[in-house]
Amino acid sequence: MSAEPRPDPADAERIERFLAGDAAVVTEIRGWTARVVRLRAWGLRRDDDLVQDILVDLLRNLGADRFEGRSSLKTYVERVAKYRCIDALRRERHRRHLPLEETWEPEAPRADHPEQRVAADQEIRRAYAVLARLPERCRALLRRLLAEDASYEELAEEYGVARGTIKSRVARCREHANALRRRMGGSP
Amino acid sequence: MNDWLDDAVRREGALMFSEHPESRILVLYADAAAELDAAERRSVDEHLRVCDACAEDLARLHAAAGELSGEEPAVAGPGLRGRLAQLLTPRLLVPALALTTVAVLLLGPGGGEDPLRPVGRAVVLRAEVERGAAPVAAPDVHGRVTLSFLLPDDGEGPMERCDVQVTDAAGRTVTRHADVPAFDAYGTFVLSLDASALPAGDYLLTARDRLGERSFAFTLERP
Repeated sequence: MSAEPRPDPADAERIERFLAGDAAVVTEIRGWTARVVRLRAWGLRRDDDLVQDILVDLLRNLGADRFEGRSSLKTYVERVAKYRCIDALRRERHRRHLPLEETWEPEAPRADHPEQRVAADQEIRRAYAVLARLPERCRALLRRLLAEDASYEELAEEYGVARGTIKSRVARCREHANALRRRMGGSP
Repeated sequence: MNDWLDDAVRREGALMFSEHPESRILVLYADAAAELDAAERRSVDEHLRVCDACAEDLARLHAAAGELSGEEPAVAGPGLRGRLAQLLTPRLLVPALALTTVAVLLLGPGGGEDPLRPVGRAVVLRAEVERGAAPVAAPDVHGRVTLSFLLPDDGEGPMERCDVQVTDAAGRTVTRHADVPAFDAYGTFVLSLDASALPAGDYLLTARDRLGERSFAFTLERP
């Protein structure tokens, strides 16, 4: 039977000193974290708040013995930093699209098309992007109707409204989806 | 109508409504796919087939790995003075947050096996705000709240020590800590309060340093 992974002794000592607030180790781990946050790959501005947020995560995770020693401590720290950078990118992406999500009325097409990707199917990806940006109430409704083949009658019963109300809600959600798609550079 | 939508859902089914994988899953997928189980890997594979945003995130992760492997960091920091053990147990440590922010660290349930999953939830909120918009703190299972605040460099070096006083909405002193050492070289201070006997309401943390006073409002909430 193989033994459970454990941090190597040097990393175990480093963690202990980090949790105790040892100046040199805090600086070292902060350096690992800051280096990941400042990678050009993310396209993020210098963000010391993010570095601090990641240190909070590390203090909590390491203090709760979440580090199992499957990798080196440095690799673990870099992974935590990476996923927080991805979270930051996602928040940024969400902010960019927030006006769309809050706007119900169709908007005029924009000239700036998204960058072209080498993708298996642009249409599918564009449709996914539209659906991902729809308000949750629309996603849920369209999912039941289109992906789960619920009938208008079933939806009317589930939502406790008239069949006609469901039809008009679906129509509004479809209009919203068309507006989003136009704005993203596709034909309605 | 929108035939494009019907066509896409007809072709890909519920995948068109799938949620993005959590970012930590995407990191493991890029860095160490072997640490994911087969179902998780398959789920990410399928999602990437339809989601440009996650494909872009994955490309950034690969680029980041390339950058990281290309150079070693130069870690050169100023001398630090971490002496948090005087204030906190290791499980209650919180480092610095942003300039003029106060962080309220809420220790939630540990739970789960995932080593990357954040333990509990850290809420970062702005300080020096209207009382009605103050950060909200709820005591953890031990009845404590942990506050972190930053006293910025005044041009003569970072703050190394300060006196801290917490007062309630009526101005009564709830707790006082003298000569609190900073956590790091950036003027970060951390305070773990026993809030078990404190009523819910608005409080003010006032830090006094060589420049004078700086106040951080927070609201204590009870579940």
